[in-house]
Amino acid sequence: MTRRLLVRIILDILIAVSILQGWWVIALLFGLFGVWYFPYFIEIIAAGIVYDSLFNHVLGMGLRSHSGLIVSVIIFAVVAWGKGVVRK
Amino acid sequence: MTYLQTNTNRTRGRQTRIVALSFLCGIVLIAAVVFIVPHFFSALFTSIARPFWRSEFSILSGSLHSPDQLLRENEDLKRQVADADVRLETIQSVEMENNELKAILGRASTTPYVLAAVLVRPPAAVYDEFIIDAGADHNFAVGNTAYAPGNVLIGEIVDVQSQTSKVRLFSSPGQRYEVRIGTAHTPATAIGRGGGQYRAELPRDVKVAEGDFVTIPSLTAKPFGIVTSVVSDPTQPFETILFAPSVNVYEVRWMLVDTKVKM
Repeated sequence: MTRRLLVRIILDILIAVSILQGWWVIALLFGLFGVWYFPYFIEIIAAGIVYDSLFNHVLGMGLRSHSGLIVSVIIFAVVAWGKGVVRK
Repeated sequence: MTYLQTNTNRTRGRQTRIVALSFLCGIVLIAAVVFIVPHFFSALFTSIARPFWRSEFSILSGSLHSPDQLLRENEDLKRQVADADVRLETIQSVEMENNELKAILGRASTTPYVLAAVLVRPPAAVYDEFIIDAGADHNFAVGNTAYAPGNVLIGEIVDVQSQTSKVRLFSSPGQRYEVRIGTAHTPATAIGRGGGQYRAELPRDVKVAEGDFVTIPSLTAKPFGIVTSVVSDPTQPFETILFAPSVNVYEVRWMLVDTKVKM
């Protein structure tokens, strides 16, 4: 197993534990690091979906019940664009 | 000298298109599942997370403490129970008298409460929500009222899974609830500020003081909160009343749910 893959797995575990505990700020920080450091870090989008499923899905909340998914998709898209610009 | 031309740009472009297409297909699939089966992901991930939350609750409840520590805690709790028994006898006699009077008036009621453990509480859960350890298996329904220990009304059930439920506090930002404030039972609308805090506005000439009780307009007049601050500006016709329940919502570990009442 390469070192990079091992770091990615550890980061995924840390994000999963943070999401389970409801520490969305810590999960967000790990996710930001991962989405910048690794290519195609879709774990951040999965984390957003899981967080919404656990804590946010309440009928009548509208878009707020999908805030995790929306924020993670925005971060993924913006950082992917930023990486493309910076690393050209 | 000729060089072999490699189509790296074309290959990279095709790769990016494939990734973008896969990403879009994934999003569409997830949206379709959420639309067709709204509780699918919620039920799936809650059932995965529930054993971890239960384990954490057990650990915090003392299952990993040493035997000496547990024995000491047991003795302390026995002493507290003995003290509480004495107080309970007095309360029970008053309750009995209260029920007899209500029965005379034709409004006697018994409300069975279901005890549920709090698995996740604010600030871990956003929007002032609790996740409790009981759901459809205990006949919970959306709209059932939830009480903190001490019979303090704090929220209502907004989502029910098979073994867990979500309780949203009335203090959730933007929530409104009709209350009565002070000894004169002045009607007002309480607006949630989050974290178990509420505010209401009353005319300046209404006499409200810190420590006054806030109740809900029902027959049993259960406690809803205690006035913590009265912000009055002589130039304004209204004063702002800040109040909160007598329990700290961040420390609630058990909750009572009234399955007979629906908001």
